Amino acid sequence: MMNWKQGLRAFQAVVRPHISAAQPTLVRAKRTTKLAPGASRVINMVSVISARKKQPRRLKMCKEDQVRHQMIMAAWKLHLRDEKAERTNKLKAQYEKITEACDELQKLDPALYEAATAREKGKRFSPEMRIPTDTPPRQPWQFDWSPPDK
Amino acid sequence: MRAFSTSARAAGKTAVSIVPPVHHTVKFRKSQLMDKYASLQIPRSSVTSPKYRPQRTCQDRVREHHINTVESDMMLITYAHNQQVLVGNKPRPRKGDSPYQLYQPQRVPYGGTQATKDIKVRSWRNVPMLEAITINCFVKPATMNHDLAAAAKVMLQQITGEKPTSVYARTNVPSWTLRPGMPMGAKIKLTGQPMNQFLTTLTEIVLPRSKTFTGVSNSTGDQNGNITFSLTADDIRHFPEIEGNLELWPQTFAIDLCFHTSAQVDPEARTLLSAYGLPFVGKERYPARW
Repeated sequence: MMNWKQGLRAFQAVVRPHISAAQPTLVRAKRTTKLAPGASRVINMVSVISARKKQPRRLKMCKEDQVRHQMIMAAWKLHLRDEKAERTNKLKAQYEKITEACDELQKLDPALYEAATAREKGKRFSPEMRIPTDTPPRQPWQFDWSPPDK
Repeated sequence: MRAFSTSARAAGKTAVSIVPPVHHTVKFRKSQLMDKYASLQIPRSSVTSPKYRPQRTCQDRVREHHINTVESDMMLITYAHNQQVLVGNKPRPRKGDSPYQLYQPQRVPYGGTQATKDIKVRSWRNVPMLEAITINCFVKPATMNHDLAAAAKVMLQQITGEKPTSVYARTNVPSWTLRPGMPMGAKIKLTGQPMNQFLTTLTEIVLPRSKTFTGVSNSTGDQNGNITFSLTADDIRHFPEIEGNLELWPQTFAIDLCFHTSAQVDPEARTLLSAYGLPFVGKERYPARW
């Protein structure tokens, strides 16, 4: 397991000379001089992957808070379960409707049924589709935009 | 006659008493009941456990997008009417008409040496979804400079926000000065919210600004719904965590990304990934059965 000093050494292997020059020698006593801003950033980054502390600190709660927490989590779990059940039921209903419609179409018009259930190859979602966000750009949609000719 | 759960099997009886009072249905060692091990009995989901991690601490755009839009669309796109289970090629058992066949291995499957998976009926229960993203960073020059592997590890930590694990060489190639046990890079498997966060950073910030990336090749895939592509060392510099600290990163490393989906065939995995903004280019090939 790598500790942060080894990690820092690793960084010195790739950082530019003027940065590595800014790094002071590591002393055990309390640091009196200030670290260079670059060096402290490196130490911050490397300390994240170091194995200095394997077990995180346990949350300290009094008995009352623990009971409160358990109660909230139980309610939250129920809520999640209901949410999932609702979602599954909706999907299931949609699936059953699709099956029903296909069966009906097969009886009514076999040719249309063949066309409707043929496997569509190379199906893609629209490349203009975006994952919705709460913070859209100032100009969320470019209405004049058309894809460039190839 | 009754027997103890541990001695019953040796006596040729069932290990668990089925006559009430039923006891010793769960095997345990008495030392596990000691007071000092009490904290180990606390489940991981309890706040009092040191392993407790809060779940769902923030809004997840990708997950919501999947539930609201992608899921039902994918179910409709992958729907096939009157489906049957398509049985894959399996190893063929010997006929057993010769005593010499008793300890011989099964014959290889038709059409190849590897068995293939069955394709199950698609329903509302197995709509394809993105399960995990594996990032693998293998640094060839780390044979010369071992510290580069550690730098690659820090780079993965920076762009994903999760802790990566080191990868080590397994083979001995003297001409490359490669020996088993050398640290050669890092890898990480992202799931859940960190995966979705990485995915949005990739498709909204990194890939649009890449100078070399034209799209994921349509020919990639391992036939089980896992899509792989790679980013160059220059593309990595567009990640905001690296870009904000560019003076610290004179050297970045190329990474290989593998998108693990629950799709049963590759074309469906590509359809799914296109919903998250990954472009696909090139000629697509379709499996014989899907």
